[in-house]
Amino acid sequence: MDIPLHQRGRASIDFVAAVGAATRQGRAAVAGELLAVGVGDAVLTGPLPERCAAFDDAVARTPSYAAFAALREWGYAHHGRIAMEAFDEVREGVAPALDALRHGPTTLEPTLGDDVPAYFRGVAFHRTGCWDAHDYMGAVHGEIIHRRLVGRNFGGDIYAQRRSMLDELRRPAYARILELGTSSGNFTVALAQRFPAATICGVDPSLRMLEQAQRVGNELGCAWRLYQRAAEATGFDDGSFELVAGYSLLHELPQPVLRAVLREAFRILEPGGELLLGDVVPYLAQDPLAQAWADHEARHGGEPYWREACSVDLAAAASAAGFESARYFFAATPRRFPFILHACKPLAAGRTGP
Amino acid sequence: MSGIEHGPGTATVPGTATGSTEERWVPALLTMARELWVLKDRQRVLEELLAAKGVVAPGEADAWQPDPGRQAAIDGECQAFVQRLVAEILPRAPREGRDARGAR
Ligand SMILES: C[S@@+](CC[C@H](N)C(=O)[O-])C[C@H]1O[C@@H](n2cnc3c(N)ncnc32)[C@H](O)[C@@H]1O
Repeated sequence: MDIPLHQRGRASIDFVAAVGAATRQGRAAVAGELLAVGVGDAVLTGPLPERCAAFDDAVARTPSYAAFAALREWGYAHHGRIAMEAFDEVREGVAPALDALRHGPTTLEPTLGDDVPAYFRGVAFHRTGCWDAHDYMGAVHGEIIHRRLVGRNFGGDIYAQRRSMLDELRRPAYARILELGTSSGNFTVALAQRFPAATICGVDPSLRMLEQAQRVGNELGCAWRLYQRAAEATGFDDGSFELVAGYSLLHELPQPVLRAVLREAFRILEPGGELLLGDVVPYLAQDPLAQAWADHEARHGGEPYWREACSVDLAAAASAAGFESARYFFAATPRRFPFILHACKPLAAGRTGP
Repeated sequence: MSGIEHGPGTATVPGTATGSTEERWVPALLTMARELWVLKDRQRVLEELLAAKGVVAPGEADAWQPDPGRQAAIDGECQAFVQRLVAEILPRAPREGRDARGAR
């Protein structure tokens, strides 16, 4: 679904993308300066908060930091607003088609009302504005921010890495699939392409993002069933699904919620069912310097739960939730992204948790 | 979401605002550079349309869309434009930036 922008919006997005590339160069300069003064894995010792504080101190003293931080800050502070402005310039022209795409085989049940989780409501994730910040936020995020900015600056094909994650699954087909954190439907598309005969359900607390997933589903002629619900309280019956899958949800969750999501996934999977979740690289797979960088960038980039989510060993957490054969590993993609959790509900398992 | 509390997370950890000179003037510079880039891009689009048709109808410049090859070329130009700015901002400017200035 292409949203052609007017000249001002198009050129502005090009500019934001170029500032993003320059910011990465600035980061590389800072990283080099840090190593040059001996700040590396060997000196970053002690508990994580202390290591991160020591890193913050050292990084702020590098010659290039102030300039790098100012570039980074401009991108974070402005990208969401500029994307919304770019959309608003073309709104009159594109809204009728976007509204028409709300009708079709993909259904959307707006169920949460005022029960949107407190850790979620009004939080400006990624400093874009909260997931419901614009009346067409799903289109703004999916088609402008994700496709035109993240897609250009992430490196590698951001859609292909969703598809290749599915190679980790055990079965050639699944009849009933639930996606957690559907957002604008990028991973839902990958699931639907790989498993065209499956009934695909999706949950996400953000109604604006789900509206875009609905448009994407309808444009493809898919009959997805989307629900405005949280992954830790899906409302589905025990044993409803053969596969529960998600992409880039977990790092957006406070730790207790993340553990609750695993328990809920276990409950709604049928015995023998599979769990497949792809997300950012956790701290257990990073050296101290990489951890400190990731933590630092997360704090500046509007990732309020990053540290606590990345501190969990999801294989152990999945086992504690009752899963077996839990594996937690780097994707076999060129960028080694995402980091993947794959686990199975034992065939002998009862319908509820251990 | 009653009953679920935050873990020992980073939700309330503030950023490390330094109040540096860069923090004050880089945003202004970039905001102005965005406007300049929009105008440079618009001028290029108008020149192209004029060269092709001799006249530009209202809305045509807004509606103009690059094909993927064109977009890649524009991205290259835009990155070079931002690069020239950044070369002035970062103490260790990227080599290409310095060389480009030196060559002129
Ligand atoms: C990075 S996006 C997901 C990306 C998406 N899966 C894709 O492939 O593009 C994170 C999404 O998680 C959703 N989210 C946050 N908390 C959630 C929860 N408790 N349950 C389900 N989804 C949640 C957000 O609303 C947001 O849409």
